[in-house]
Amino acid sequence: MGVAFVTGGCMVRTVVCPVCGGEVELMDDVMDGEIIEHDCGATLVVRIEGDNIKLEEFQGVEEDWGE
Amino acid sequence: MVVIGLLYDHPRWEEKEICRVAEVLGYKVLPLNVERIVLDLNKRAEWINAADIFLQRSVSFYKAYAYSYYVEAFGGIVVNSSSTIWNCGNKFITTLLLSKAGIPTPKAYLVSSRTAALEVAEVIGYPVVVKPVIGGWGRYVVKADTRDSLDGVLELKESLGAIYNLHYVQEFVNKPGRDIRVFVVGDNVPVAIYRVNKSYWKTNTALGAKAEPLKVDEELEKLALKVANVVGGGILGIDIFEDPERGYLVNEVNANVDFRNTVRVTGYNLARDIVEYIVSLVKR
Repeated sequence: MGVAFVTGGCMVRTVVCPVCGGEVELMDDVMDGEIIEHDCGATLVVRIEGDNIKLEEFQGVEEDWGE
Repeated sequence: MVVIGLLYDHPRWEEKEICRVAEVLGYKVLPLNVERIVLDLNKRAEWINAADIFLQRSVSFYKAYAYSYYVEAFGGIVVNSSSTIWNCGNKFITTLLLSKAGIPTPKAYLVSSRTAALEVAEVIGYPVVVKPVIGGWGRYVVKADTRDSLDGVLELKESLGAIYNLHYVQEFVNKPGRDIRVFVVGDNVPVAIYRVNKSYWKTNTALGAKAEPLKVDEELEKLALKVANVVGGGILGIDIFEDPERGYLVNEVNANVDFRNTVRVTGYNLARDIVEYIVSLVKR
């Protein structure tokens, strides 16, 4: 998990991208399971367990998803 | 204070907006990621006691159905209900229910073999549209203009697994470059949009169609409420085609609606309606 800091009134956390190793900034309202895009082009899933936040590479839209 | 249990798997803008609005209105939201929840099938889970009502927002149809069913099985209230999710999530069941209720829909058939699909297409007339029975955002929905192209599509579909071996074959409706998305929240039809795509036949906003505001008239409202009643009610997005000769044809009903684009173009606070509707069910 990265360091928490404040910028522009929004709490941001930085975590490591599992694809490129670069930093990923997460807004303070980030939720467990959220799917995000990183600048490197990777699509990532946010996993939150207690105070720990990590990212996993998104495995793709599943066949029963969507409206 | 009313506590709303928000059941989700992959939260989007919509879930965050619902959380934000609920808190503004003075309600507490308990976010529950269904991927973290083990369902004990032999006893009522503790988390059911932690909320007064549950809002089902999982993007996965099967997860939404299972977790709503579980809540109901142990006496909880959840919107949408498992039966609404099931009725809307299976395209063939949706069409069957609507048709039985006298609601106009595009002509559609369900077949379980490629041969039968090709025969049905001859009856309907090309082009035809082939859809998976389950799934959304327009994925794997294909328009076949000829017998050869349909045969190729079905061969490919059947290689994808059992779920794709049931073929929902629908007539191609020559839409005027758009379709209609009407929202139902309980007994109200608060907002609607056109989904416009002049360059591609699919009108899913997930596939690039542009949302434009649409005023809900009496005919549309009446139709939407009838559809909602048939599928079991709740919070719904109803997709309607405008046929030049037959008028409105109900294409699909969605039990887990995206509404970001609707809010963006109409300015309508749909999350507020959803939260207020949920809370009203607790107070009944």
